[in-house]
Amino acid sequence: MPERELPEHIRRQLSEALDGGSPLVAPLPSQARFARVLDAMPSPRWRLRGLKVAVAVGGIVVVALAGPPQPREWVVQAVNDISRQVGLPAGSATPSPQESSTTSEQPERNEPAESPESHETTVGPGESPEASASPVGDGTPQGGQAQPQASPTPEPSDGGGGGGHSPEPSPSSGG
Amino acid sequence: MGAELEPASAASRPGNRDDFDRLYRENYPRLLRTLYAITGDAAAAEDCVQEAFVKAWRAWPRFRPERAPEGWLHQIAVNTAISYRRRAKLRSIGEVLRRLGRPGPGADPGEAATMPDLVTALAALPPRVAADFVLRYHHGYNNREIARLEGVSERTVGARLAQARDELSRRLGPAWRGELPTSDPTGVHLPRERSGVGDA
Repeated sequence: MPERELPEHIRRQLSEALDGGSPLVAPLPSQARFARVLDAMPSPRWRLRGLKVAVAVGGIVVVALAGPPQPREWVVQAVNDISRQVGLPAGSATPSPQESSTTSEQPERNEPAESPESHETTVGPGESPEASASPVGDGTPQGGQAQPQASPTPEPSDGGGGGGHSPEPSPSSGG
Repeated sequence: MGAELEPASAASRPGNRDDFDRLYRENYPRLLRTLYAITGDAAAAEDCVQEAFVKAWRAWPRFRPERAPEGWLHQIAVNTAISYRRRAKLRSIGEVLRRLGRPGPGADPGEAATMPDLVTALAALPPRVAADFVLRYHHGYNNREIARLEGVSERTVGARLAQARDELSRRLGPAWRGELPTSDPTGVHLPRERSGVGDA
């Protein structure tokens, strides 16, 4: 099938129109836009590192947002660690206000992991355990007829071991 | 002429910077004039060609050597120009909507005076029709070469050229309809030397 041709003056007109509007010489390859893109492209190694960092950050975010709710076990763990450091068995005993006042010489006195043994060691040697253990507030013998209350704890310096009287008066009974 | 449309030789190694630079130097003028006919704006054509080479450079490591790199670049450039025309059309529609109900300044008379009628008529053609017309009658490719360059049939190229001639003759005069060759009874077309290739 023969192809139609344009007259020569028409072709010349076409060439003049197209050549007149566009520059004839191409910019150098180093000045082309793709050369700037080449310079701006990061190296594959840095691209790989960036990809790794992005994946790691994405994983952390997913675990933090979509993972199961974490109980505050770190609090219990930290308390147990501290009580182990001070030589006490780990536990979850709740300290009483009295404990905190009697253990003021210890640096970790505000720590809640105080054991009942520490309270016993701070009792003064001259004090009767009855003073605090008796349900009667003052524990003062009335006219020598007062009978000491039965104490669940054995009396310390009983001597004979069978007497029902306390050999030492209560500190509060002196007056 | 056929050498330019041969499959990529060993000199066109995918990802090689020197080979891409050579392709850039050889194809830039032809692509620039083709896109000038499509866009009707020299600055836009230059911008589109640069953008096309950026796209080509990004895809250059994945280029298949069994393809002709000139045809590959041509496709990228024409697609870039088509995208530009689509965006320009959307911009013009938005401009019309903004000016709706208000007296506008109208077309820039200076711009209208400097834009040749022929380029205006070419830019009014469908992009691939305009590209084929420029390849055929400005760069000197024959229908078969254009078909190979674009990956379409010769019949498609012939139909596009006929459409271009009809449109241009309607706008510019009957001389643009063309004439059947009389000096070449064998039907073998010897195209003239291409003005757009290798003159950079």
